Amino acid sequence: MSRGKKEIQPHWRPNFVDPAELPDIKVIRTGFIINFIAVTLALVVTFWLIQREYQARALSQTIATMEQQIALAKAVDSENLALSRDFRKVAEHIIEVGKFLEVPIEPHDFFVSLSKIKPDDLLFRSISLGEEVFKVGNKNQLGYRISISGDAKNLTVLDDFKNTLESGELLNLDGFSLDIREALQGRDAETGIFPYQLSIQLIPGDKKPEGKGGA
Amino acid sequence: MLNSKAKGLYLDISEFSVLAARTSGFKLPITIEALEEYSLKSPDDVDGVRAFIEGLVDFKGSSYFVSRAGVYPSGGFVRYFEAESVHKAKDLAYLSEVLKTDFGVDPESNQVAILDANNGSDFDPKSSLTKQLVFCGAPTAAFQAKQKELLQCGVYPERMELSTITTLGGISDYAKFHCLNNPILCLEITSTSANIFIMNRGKIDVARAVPFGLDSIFPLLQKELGLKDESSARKLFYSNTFDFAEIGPKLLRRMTKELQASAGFYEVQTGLTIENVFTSVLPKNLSWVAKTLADSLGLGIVKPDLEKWLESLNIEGGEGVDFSNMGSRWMSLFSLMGEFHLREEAEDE
Repeated sequence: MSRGKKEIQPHWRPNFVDPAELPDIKVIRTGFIINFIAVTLALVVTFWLIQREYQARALSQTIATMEQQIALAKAVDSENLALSRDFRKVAEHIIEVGKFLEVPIEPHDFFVSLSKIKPDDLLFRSISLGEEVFKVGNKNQLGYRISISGDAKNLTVLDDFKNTLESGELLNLDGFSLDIREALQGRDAETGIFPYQLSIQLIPGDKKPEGKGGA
Repeated sequence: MLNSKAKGLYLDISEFSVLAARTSGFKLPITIEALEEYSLKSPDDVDGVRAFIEGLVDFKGSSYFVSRAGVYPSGGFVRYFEAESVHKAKDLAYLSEVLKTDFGVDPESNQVAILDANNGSDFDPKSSLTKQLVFCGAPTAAFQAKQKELLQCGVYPERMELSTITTLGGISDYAKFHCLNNPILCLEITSTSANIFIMNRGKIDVARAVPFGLDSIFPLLQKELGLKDESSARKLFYSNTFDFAEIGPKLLRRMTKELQASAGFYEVQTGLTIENVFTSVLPKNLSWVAKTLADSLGLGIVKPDLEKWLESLNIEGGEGVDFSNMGSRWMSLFSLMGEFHLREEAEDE
């Protein structure tokens, strides 16, 4: 018998189909790919949302911790700020003192040196040393004015003294230009002495101002 | 995104028409969604059948639709054989010889199924304990031709059954369900041959072939009506325009004699009385044939109550499906859906 099927058929219904003569209709199903992509996408989105949620939660926790730390540090910070403010005030004083001490002319040394170079025929009645603001270019800068008044036996002595000051190291300071002006009063007829007045300017800057000379 | 469940398609393809059912699927319970009939315009109406099927089911771009089909191959046969003993029936060589000598069927060139005549189950020589057998099948070439035709029509036959035996299974189950305890005379007439069966209490008692069919009527019709030729008689016969009530018995006399001979012999042999006749395959416009034969034999016609029977098989009609006006010829289609062994299993329990 050519029918070699072994499986049990439904009653009264033998199957005479010849499987060898049937075409291959197996379909490569792609529906699962769409399902796979959809499921993957859903999982990715879910994972992303969970991650975002987790990050947000972690950030909230961090913020809370940080706020707590800030609250705790605030007292210490206020204390430090007060300390810093005090320090700044003190620092300002120290800087001021430093600046005060950084003057190119120290009065007591200056007066000693001035007295050493003073000729014998010249008398000092008064000497003053003070700071003065000079306009150099467009800027106001700090310089010094020295005023000396006294009596000279003769004008030669005064000129010599003036020349000594101009050429000596005492007033030729780095960063300053020197300007010496003299003012003479009439000769005292009784004593024959000339009262004089010297106005010495130490102007910031290396260049000496023009118009230097006596009054 | 998920694909909808694949529909089922059942087809009973005779030389006259295609009976088709679209169902919810192939596994029970089945809901019949649509029932259609297509009258064949010619014996090789492939395009027409394909268009008909395409109108019934959605191929979804595929070349074929998986279906279960019942066919009537030329040379198809159903034969009853009672062996001398159960032991003898287990000898396949002996059965092969019986096929050759008693029934003229060459097992080499035919596809043959052997069933237990008592319940239609597959005969297994190792385990079956019966000596009443049914040989059924057809020439291998005829089955292959039918399979090829089905494929040409876009039908991928998951199952291809011999409608003759499948329908007998349906009748057997129907008789059991409706407790038709008297034997039923079953007649399958095609254009070139006929098969006579006698079913008794769900088993086949007689199965014999008649070597002539409807074509044998045409010369008689030509003679009776004085027609020009047999072709004209054929046209008139199938035209559904002529009332055959009067000359019907004359035309069917030869067939009636064959039926009377089989029925009479059976009744004498068994002492049982046949009460009903069942005809299959005949198209609707030849329903007078069944009536004429039944009247001539003095038998009633089995008019199946399909709805209740199908319900008992776990098959129901969907919306718009009406079984009330369906004749016995639809039995062949519904028999393709029946899992008849389930009723037997239920009865055994």
